Amino acid sequence: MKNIKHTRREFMRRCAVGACGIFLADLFTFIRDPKPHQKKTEKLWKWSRDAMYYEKTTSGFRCLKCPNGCVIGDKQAGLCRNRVVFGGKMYSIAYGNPCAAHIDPIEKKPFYHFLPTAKSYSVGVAGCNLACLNCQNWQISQVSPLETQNYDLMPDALVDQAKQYKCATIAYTYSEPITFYEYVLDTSKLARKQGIRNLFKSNGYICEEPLRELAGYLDGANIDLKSFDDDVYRRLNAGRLEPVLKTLKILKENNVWVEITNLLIPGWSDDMAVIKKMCEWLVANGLADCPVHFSRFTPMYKLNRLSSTPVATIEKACETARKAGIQYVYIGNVPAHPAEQTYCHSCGKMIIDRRGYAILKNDVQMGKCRFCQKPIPGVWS
Amino acid sequence: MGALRTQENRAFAERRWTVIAFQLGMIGIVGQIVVIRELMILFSGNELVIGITMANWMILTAVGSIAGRFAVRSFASEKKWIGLMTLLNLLPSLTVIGMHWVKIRWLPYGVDPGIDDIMILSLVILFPFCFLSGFVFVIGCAVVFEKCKTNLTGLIYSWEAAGSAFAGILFNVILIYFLPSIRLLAVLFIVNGILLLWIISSAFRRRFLGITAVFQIAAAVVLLGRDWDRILREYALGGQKVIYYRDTPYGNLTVTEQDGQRNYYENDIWIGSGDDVQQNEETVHFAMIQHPYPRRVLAIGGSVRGLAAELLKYEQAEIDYAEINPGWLKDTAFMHASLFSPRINIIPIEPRRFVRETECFYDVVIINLPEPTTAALNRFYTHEFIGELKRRTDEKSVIVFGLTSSADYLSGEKRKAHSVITRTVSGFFRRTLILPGVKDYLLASDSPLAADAASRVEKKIKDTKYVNTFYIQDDWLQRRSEYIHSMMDWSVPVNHDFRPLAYFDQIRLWLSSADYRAWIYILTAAVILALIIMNFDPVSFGLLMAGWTGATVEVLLLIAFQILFANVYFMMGLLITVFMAGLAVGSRFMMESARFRGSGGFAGLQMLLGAASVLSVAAVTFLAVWMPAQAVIYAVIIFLMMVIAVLSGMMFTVSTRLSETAVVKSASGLYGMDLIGSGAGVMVMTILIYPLWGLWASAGILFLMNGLCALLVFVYSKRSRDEKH
Repeated sequence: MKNIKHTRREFMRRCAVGACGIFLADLFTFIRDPKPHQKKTEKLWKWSRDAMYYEKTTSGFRCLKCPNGCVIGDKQAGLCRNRVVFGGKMYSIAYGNPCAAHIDPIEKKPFYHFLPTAKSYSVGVAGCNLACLNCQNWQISQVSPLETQNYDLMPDALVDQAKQYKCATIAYTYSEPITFYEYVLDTSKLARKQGIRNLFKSNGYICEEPLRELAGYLDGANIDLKSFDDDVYRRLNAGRLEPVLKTLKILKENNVWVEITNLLIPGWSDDMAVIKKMCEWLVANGLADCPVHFSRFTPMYKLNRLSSTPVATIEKACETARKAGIQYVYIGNVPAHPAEQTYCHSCGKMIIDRRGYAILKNDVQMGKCRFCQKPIPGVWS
Repeated sequence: MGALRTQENRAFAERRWTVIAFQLGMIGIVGQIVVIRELMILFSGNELVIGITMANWMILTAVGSIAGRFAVRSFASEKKWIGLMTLLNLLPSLTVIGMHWVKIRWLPYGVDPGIDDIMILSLVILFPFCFLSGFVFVIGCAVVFEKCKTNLTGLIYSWEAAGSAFAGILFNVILIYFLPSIRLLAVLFIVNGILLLWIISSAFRRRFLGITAVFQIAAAVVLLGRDWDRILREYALGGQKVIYYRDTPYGNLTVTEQDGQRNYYENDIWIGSGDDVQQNEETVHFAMIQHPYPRRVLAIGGSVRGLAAELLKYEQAEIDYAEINPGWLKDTAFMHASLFSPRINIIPIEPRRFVRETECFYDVVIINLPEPTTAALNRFYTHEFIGELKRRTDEKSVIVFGLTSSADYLSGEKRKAHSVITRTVSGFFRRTLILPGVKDYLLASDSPLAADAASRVEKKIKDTKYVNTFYIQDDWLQRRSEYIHSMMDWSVPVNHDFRPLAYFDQIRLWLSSADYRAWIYILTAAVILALIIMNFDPVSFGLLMAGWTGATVEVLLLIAFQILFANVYFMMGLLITVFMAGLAVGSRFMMESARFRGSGGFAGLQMLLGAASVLSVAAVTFLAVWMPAQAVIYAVIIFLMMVIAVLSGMMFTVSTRLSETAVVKSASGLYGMDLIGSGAGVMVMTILIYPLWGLWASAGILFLMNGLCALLVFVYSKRSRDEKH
């Protein structure tokens, strides 16, 4: 009997040691690699291209495209999931393979001061360099292009499609175009030659050098300024505020038309003091004439325990922005709200009677207010 | 601590101990029901949560009971036992108050917990209470044995179960109607406090009585002095002003106010905010314009969002309005103004029951519910329900479901989820159409359906804010509709009440949005395995299997209740109480009876338990098809629950007799094995086997496992007898 007990105890001890071993090994892997979604990638494919902006370091390849600055080992992907390293080179695996391609009204992006009612051929490739808890498109932004069903739409084919459907613009949107940078850049060059404008719907989380190169081919950008609080950026979006502010300044410097979207999430980004600070910064940095769209939040992805934003809160944000000196302020995701209309900043008269994606009346003529003849900032022709 | 000297002393002490065991049962059952209900609210109301939390509950209690074995020397005095009971009495209230604080510390504000979070948080939240209750049970057995030198584990077990049954009926069936969670626990604390003081006053010095009394009174004042239930709701909802909260048989309802907007929550999940123009217009008009003259309309869900206001724009329409939680339609204080129209007929009963019983025929049926993220919601997307609806419609009738929007891309998981529902609906209606919007609206009819919704709405209704050609371009709508339709997989199986594939798809979709931490599961499995090995012998393994079967069938019957009536939130109290009563009856019966005493009897009971689990599943399936009066179904399920519990209770008592080890070791080992089996069973069967293979396969596996176990016990005992000879 004693022998049996002894054996059982030994067995127990070995089991416990084994279990601890497995546990510690797993824990070690977890601690060493704090980005559990960095999966190994096994192959290059037709939609792989040499990546731009990276450098070799002693511990791997450092991506210099966005401020995450991922150091990527062989056969591994960066945080954005579509920059991979193979055989001593970095590749983008998001070139010519959008998983979403639709024709949208330009107002849907939203762009309110850029060719009103123009059609926009909109594409997005899987992947994102942030991890917002409220992502609307998480099923494409939080996965790799290897995991989505994709179209085969190389830059020349994409431009042809846009022409075929008489789209005046191509919008790089839905997920995060910074992560399919090479595709955006090559397509933009071709589109510009064909007289099609390039629109960038982005989180603005990009490094200076690649942005300056791309800005030369961009016509408009709508940047999601998710908050003006760095702590919120870190906890809500897994990013930082400062690079986004820098992006806004560089785009402005490079004469890219900029509109800003600020999503008001209850308890996260609806603090009026922070909104006031944000607007004051925009004014101080020469961005007072950039339209600001305050958008209503509805529960999405992981952030689905919150209510939608009260309309009164959004109206307060608009008022705060106007008082701070922002010239054009709009409300998004609240159908038929009066703040959908454009009022001349100079004379205060309604110059664009907008309803949804339709324009009922447009009194912007040759880029000026029909009533007071003051220029209205934007791209009108 | 010698044996008690006189027969009178022993009788008096035994009475005292049975009262304490009875109290232990009371605290256990009320704490379990209230804490699990609160955890369901905390973790989004998914039935998977019941499985995980009950499993963790049992495992932690087992850990406590096994730890008790090692702490007997330090704690085996009656005074300490009573001291621990006093602390245990307070823990359910503290657990409920503390759980919201723990969650807010662990998760970012407003984030829906993933499966890892549920696992970790439930372990952390339940640990103090569960550990201590297991610990106290074993200490109690040790105290009793030290005093009278007899194995009274069976007695303690049966009185504990009796306390559970009594408190279950008083608190979880009667008082729960009148009192919110913390108030209920405060009453429990006071009742137990008085009993503890009586025990102390009868057997101990005044100083001990004084200290305990001061502690009890101070705690009672704190618990009753503030409206903790409201405070907790406000805390959990980020400081919003709570203007209404109420528990109903179907869940907890809360209404808050924030910057002039009313927000409505069910089990802390936001279900709407006042007038939701976009969704209301799409839901109503996409369906209504498909019918040439919609006169009779049935709407299910969305009343708090103001959906009725849109329906009333059709002047000829008479509307029957039902809610999955009829509580939303009972209190006029926060009902939407449109619901007071004479053209609206409020349905005061559960909608599925209404559809089964009504004799009306409907031109349009609007199902405005969240997707089948729970078994309760899945009931509105099944072959059985759509069949019932079909009988209440005609050739031109239209039904609409709102599925989560595929936005700009339809992922693999979402495609499958959409396909299962579309395929189920198309089994009854010749035509289906999906119109994308805030949601993907799945329309079905036997007549043609039109995708040019915006222009058709403009012709019929003038004052829409969103569904018009300004916001929706029909060619765009048509293109996207065709795209989604082309992505449907028509080879997927159909969604059923008891084979809820759509619900499982939603769980997969939910899991795909969360990160996994494999170490949590490895660690849990390692702990379970270690505990099993520590206590291994065929009898305790048989008891483990009994716990496994009993708890699994218990949870499967709870899920069955949810599928049939959606009121598990309320019925959980009654069913768990019945289960505990059954354990008490079984255990008590075996203490008196001469039958089933040996290992052959144990093996026989094990076989019976396996057969009963198959019988339970057969009965539930039969009831779901036959659908007799609600009272008959209640009675049958309660009877089945009782049978399973009685058999489990009988096995526990037989096993204490068969066990050859010391009392403390047997109490902690057997009690622990019973609980580990229960925890592991619930975890494996309801989270893995049932979703993968369904109800019948689960029952089959239970039957086989019990059969094998019975064989093992029989062979082992025969060999032991041969060795002795």
